[in-house]
Amino acid sequence: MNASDEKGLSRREFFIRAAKAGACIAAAGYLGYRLYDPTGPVGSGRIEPASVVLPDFSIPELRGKMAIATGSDRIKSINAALKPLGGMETFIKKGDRVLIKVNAVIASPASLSATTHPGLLAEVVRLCLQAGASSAIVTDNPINDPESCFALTGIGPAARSAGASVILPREGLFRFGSVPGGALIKDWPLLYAPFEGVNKVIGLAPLKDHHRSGASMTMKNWYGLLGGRRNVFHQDIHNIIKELAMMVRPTLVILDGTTAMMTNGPTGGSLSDLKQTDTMIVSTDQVAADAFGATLLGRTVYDLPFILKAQEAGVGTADYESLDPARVQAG
Amino acid sequence: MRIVTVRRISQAFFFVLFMWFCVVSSLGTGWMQLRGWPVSWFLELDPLNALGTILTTGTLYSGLVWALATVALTVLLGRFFCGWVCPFGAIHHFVGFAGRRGKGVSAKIAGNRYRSGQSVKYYILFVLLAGASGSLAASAIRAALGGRIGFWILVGAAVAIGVAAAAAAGTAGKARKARGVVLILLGAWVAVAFFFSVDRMIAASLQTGLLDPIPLVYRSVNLFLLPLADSTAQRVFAGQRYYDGAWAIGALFLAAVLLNLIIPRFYCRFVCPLGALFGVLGRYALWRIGRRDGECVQCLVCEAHCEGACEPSGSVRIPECVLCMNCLHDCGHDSIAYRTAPSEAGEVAAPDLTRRGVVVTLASGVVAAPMMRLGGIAARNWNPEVIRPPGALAESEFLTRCIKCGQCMRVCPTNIIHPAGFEAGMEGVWTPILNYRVGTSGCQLNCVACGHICPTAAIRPISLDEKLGRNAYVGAGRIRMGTAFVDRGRCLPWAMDRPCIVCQETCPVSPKAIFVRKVYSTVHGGAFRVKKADALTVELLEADLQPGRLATGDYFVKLPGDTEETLRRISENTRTGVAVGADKPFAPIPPPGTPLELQVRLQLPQIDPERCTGCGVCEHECPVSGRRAIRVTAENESRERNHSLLLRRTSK
Amino acid sequence: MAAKKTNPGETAVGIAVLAVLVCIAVGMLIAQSRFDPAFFTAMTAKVEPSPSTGAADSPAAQTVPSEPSALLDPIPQGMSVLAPAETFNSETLSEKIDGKAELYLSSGFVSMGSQRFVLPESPDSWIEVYVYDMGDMRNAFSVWSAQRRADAEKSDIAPFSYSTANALFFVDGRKYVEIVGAAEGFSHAILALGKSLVGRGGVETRGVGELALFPLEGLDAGSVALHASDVFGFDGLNDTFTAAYDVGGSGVTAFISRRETPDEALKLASAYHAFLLQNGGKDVAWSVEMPAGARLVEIFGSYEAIFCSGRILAGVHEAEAKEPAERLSVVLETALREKGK
Repeated sequence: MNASDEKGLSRREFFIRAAKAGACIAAAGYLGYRLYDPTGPVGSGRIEPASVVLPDFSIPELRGKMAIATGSDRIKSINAALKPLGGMETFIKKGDRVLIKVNAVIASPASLSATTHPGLLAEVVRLCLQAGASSAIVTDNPINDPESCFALTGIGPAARSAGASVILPREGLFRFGSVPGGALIKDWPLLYAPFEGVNKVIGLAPLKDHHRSGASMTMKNWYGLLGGRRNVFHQDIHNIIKELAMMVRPTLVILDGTTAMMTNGPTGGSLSDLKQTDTMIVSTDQVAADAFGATLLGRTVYDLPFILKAQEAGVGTADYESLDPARVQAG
Repeated sequence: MRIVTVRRISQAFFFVLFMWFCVVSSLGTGWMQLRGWPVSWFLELDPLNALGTILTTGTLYSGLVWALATVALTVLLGRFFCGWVCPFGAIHHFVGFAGRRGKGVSAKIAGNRYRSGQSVKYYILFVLLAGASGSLAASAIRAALGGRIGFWILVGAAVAIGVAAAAAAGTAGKARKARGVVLILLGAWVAVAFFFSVDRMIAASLQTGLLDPIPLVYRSVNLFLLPLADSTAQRVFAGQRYYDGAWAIGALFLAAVLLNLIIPRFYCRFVCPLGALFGVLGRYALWRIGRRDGECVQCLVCEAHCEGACEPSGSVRIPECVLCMNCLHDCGHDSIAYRTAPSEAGEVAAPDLTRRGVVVTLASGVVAAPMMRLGGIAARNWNPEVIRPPGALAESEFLTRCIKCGQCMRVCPTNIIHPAGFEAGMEGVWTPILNYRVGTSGCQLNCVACGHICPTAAIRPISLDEKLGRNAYVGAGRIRMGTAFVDRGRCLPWAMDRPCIVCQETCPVSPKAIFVRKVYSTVHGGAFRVKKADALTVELLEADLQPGRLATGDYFVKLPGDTEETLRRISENTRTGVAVGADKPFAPIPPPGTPLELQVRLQLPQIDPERCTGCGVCEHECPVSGRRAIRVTAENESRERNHSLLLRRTSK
Repeated sequence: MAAKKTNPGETAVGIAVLAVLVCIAVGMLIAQSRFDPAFFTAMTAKVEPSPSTGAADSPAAQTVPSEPSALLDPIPQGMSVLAPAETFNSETLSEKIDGKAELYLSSGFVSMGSQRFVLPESPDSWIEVYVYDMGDMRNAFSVWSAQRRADAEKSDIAPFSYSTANALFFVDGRKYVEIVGAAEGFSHAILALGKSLVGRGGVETRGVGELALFPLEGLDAGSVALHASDVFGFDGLNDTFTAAYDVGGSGVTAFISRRETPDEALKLASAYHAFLLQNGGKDVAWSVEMPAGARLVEIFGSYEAIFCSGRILAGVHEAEAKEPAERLSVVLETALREKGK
C-alpha cells in the first residue's frame, strides 16, 4: 500500500465522486428553483376546470313557429301538430344527431302523467330517425335512482325499442357549466357529456302543476340537466327557470298537454290529479309554449312569474298569439 | 478540541433552540413570545417535507427552500443531520446513552450490532413517498391519455408489458421472479388506469408527517410535553392548555423514546423515514467514516458507542452512519477517520433492500391513497364535524399539504385547534380540527396566526382583509369555517322558557349573525287571578311564587286586553304578589278576580347564514355546557363549494 | 478512553462548526426582532362584541362597524394601543364629538376613526388620534382651517398643519387628522404619531389651488381658511377662501371664491350685494379705480367690497375703514387679473 498510490487512486475517485455529488446538488437546486412558490395557493387551493356553455341548437329561420293540435291520441296529435310546420323533416335533417330531453324525474308509471309519455317518446324518436337522423339520444338526470326511473316510467324500453340510445347520468358525465348573463348557474355541474356531438335538441315535457313554481312545462324541463346539490335553487325558483331557459336553446320543444296534471305536481300520485286536456303543443319558442300551456292549467302568465322573466331575458315571447300558431284538429 | 465534544455542543445547541422555539410559539410580542422567531425552521430544514409536498403539489413552498441546504450538506457529508442537528435524534441519543450506562463493553457492542430490521425505515420511506406521488402518476397518465398518440402508446405499452410478463413467468430464479412481479403489477396498473376514470383510481396523500421525526417531535413537545410541564408553573401558557387526543401523540413519543432502553437510537435505526432519505441521499458523500490502513486489531471498541449501528469495524454501512464520531474518538489505534478516501475494510454504500420489498412498498403506497378515500370521507359522506381553521384549503388539497406538525395548534391563542382522531378519515389523523368547546373562546375575529405559521400552506397565510372580507375582498365576503345551528330542543329560551341570548351578545361580527325574535310567553303555571291590587302591586290568589324569582327584569304582568306594548314589567315579587315598575302603574286598578298572566319575555336566537362565519364564539359561550344548544358544523364553509348552504349569487 | 492528541484538522473542523453555530444563533436573534407589530396588535386586541340593544336591532346600530382594527399601521416604537379603534359614520359622529359634528357633517364628512394610544412612561395619560375622512382634500382643508386655534404654531409635518401645546392638526389628502394629548408634554409622541399617518390620506380629487391666488404682501399665511357653506352669513355663498391681511396696520379679510363660469360669478356677486343691501348696507362710491361692476358697501361701520375677475368672485370683508378696504381690493383685483392671464 503505497501512500502515493492510495492518494492517486483516491484523487480520481474523489473527483468522480465529487462530480456525482455536485450533480445531485445541482439537480436538487434546479428542482427547487423551478418549483419555488413563495406565495402558496390561492382561494380554496382547488383549480376548477373551465366552465362549459351549451351551444345554440335552434334553427334561426324557424324562430317563432308554433302549432297546437287537439286530440286524445298522442301519436295522431304529434303528427298533426308537426304537419303545418312542415313535419319533422323541417327540423331534423339527414345525418343529424338528436338529443331528446325527456322528463323522467321520478320512478312513476306512465299512467300518472308525472313523466314523459313513453308512447309519445317512441313516436318522436321514430319521426327523427325517419327524417334522416343518424342517431337519437334520450337522457335526463332524475331525482330518484336513474335506472329505476327510466325503467318504471317506460321511457327506457320505449326509447330503445324505437331505436334511440338511453344515457343514464353518472358522475363522469357532468361538467361545470355556466349561463352567459346568468347569476345562479355559474360553474354548476351540468349533464354535459350527452350533448357532445349532438346538433339538434328536442325538449319533450308533460304539462304539470308544480307546487313550488306553479307549473312545470318546457322551460322547467331543463332542470333535469343540473347536477350537484341542485335543490338549493328552489330558494329562487323563478329565476332558475328563467336561467334554464337561457341556458338551453333547443331546436324544438314539445309540450304534451294530452293529460295534464292539474294539482299536486310535480309528483302527483293520484289519477284524480289529472285532467284530459287533449292538447299537443309544438313550438320553437319555449316561452310561448309555456304561456299557452298555462292556460290549459287554468293559470295566467301572472301566476307564473318565470314566463315573463324569461320573456324579459329575451328567450321568447309570452304573447303566443303573436306567433300566429297553427291550430289543427287531430281527430 | 475533540470532534465528539463539538458534536455534543451542536446537539445541545439545536436541542435548546428547538425547545426554545416550542416555548416561544405563543402569539405576542413579549420576550418569551413569538415575535419574529422562525419557529418552524426545523420543519423547513427537513427535506422529507419538501420532497413530500413537491410530489403532492408540484411546488416548493416558501420556507421549505431551506431543505436544499440540508440536501446539499447531506450529499457532501452524509447523515450529519441525524447526529448533529435532529432534536428527536438528540433525545434518542441521550436516552440510549443513559440506558446503557453501567453495561459492560460487550453488552454495548451487542446492542449496536447491525440488524436487518434497519432496512424497514427505507420501506417506510417508500410507502410514504409512493402515497404522495399518486397525483404525479395521474398527471402522467392523463397527459398520455389526452392525445390520440398517447392513447395508442398506452395500449401498446399494456400489451407489451402483458406479453413480457407472460414470457418472464415460469422462469426460475429470484431475479426473474422479481422482474416478473414488477411487470405484472405495472401492466395491471396501466390497464386499470385507462379503463377507469383516472381521478378515482389515483390520489395523492401526504402521510409523511406521521413518522417524520421533525413533525413528530414538534407535535409531541407542543401538544403533549409542554402542556404537561406547564400545568403547574403556567409560565408559557396563559391557562391550562389541553389538546384532544394528545394522549395518542404522547404514547407514540414515549414508546419511541423508551425503546431506546432496549436498543439505543431505536427509532433512528429502524423507523425514521427521514434518516432513510438521508441514507439514500448520502450515497455519494465525499467524506465518510472508514478504516484507515494499519493497526486495526478488531477489538470492536469502536462499536461500543456506535450510534448508527453501521459496523465501523468491518465494512462500514454508509447509509446507517449518523456521524456521531464516537468510533473515531474511541479507537485506541487511531484506525478510524472521517475522510474522502473509502474505508480500507470496504464500505456498503446502498441500503440493504430487496427488489420485492421495494416494489411491494411502492405499490401499496400508491394504492393506499385511493383506498383511504373510498371510505367516502372526501365526497358524499363528508363529516360535518370536520371544521378546519380559516384559510385552510379544500379538503383534498389540504390533505396533500398537511404534515401534522401541530404548529397551528400550538400558536392558536384560544386553544381551539386540536389534532383530529379519525373524524377526517385515516388520512386526517392528527390534522387540525376546530373544537369550540375546549379552549378559551371561539376563533378570534382578527386573528390569522395559524395560516402564517403553517410551514406548508395547508392553511394559507391569509391577510386580515381576506378573513374579514374587507377592502379588496369585499366581493368575496368573509372567510367562513362553517355555520352555527341553534338546537331548539336544548336552547334555554326556545325549549325551557329561560331568558338567555349569550350567543347573540357574544357574536363578534358586525352586523351580528345571530338575531333574536322577541316573544312573550306565559310562564308555566303563571295564570292567576287578582286577589287585591293597587296602583303598583297585585296580590294573587293561590300563588306560591319564589320570592324575587320574577324580579330579573324579564317578567311581565299581562292583564286581559294587554298587548305587547302595554305589558307591565315586574320589579319585585313576594311569595304571593308582584309589584310593577312605577313607570306603568295599573290604571284602572284591576278588581279582584281579574284573570292575570305572568309572562316571560324571551328572545329567541336565530342564525343569519349569510353573516355567520362559524367562528364558534357562540358555541363556546353557550351556557348549556354539555352538548351545546348552538353548535357549529362545517356547512357553508368557504373552502368547499359543495358544502354551500345558500344560493350563490354572483353579480356578473 | 486513552487521552489522544487531536489532530489539527479535527480542531479546525470543530472550530468551523462552532462558528456556524454562532452565526445561526446571531441570525436567530436578528430574526426575532424583525416583526410587524401591527400584525400582533390586530390579533391580540380584545374584541368587544357590539353591545346588543335590548330592543330589536335597529338598522343604525347595525351599521356601526365596531370591529377593532389597527388605526395606525405600524404603530410607532414605544407606544401601545390603549383601546381598539372606533369608527363613526354620519349618524353616530355626534356620539363621539357632540355638537361639533355639525361642522363636519356640513362639509362632506364620510367617516371618522379614532383610537387612543398610551406611552409606557405615563400610563395614566393618553393621546387620542382622530382621522376624519372628509371625502376630498378641499373638504379636509375646510374643516382644518375653520377650527384654527388661537395659539396655533405652524408645523412642518404637512403643507397644512399647525400644532398647539397639546395637539397637532393637519390635512393629509382627503383626511383631516387631529392628534390630541390628554396633557401637555407629549409633543414628541404626537409628532411621531402624526408622521406615521402622513401620506395615507388618499388621492386628492379637488385641491386647494385658490391658495395661490392670494397676493402675498401683508398676508397672514396661517390665516387662510376655506369655508364650505353659509359664508359671511349668506346662504348663497359657499366654497370660499378667506385670508387675513394687514393693510397699513389695519386688519382686513380678503375672500376668493372660484365659480363654475364667469356668469355664475357675476350672478352671485349681485346676489351677495343685494343681500348686504337688504341687511342694512349702503352703496359707497370707489375712490380708487376699479373695474366696472365692482361694488363697495358700507354696513354698520365696516366696509365690504365685491368684484369679479373671470370666474372668480372676490372681495374684502369687514374692513374697519374705507381706505384699507380699497387698497386691498386694488391689490387683490390686480393680482387676480395678472394670474388670470
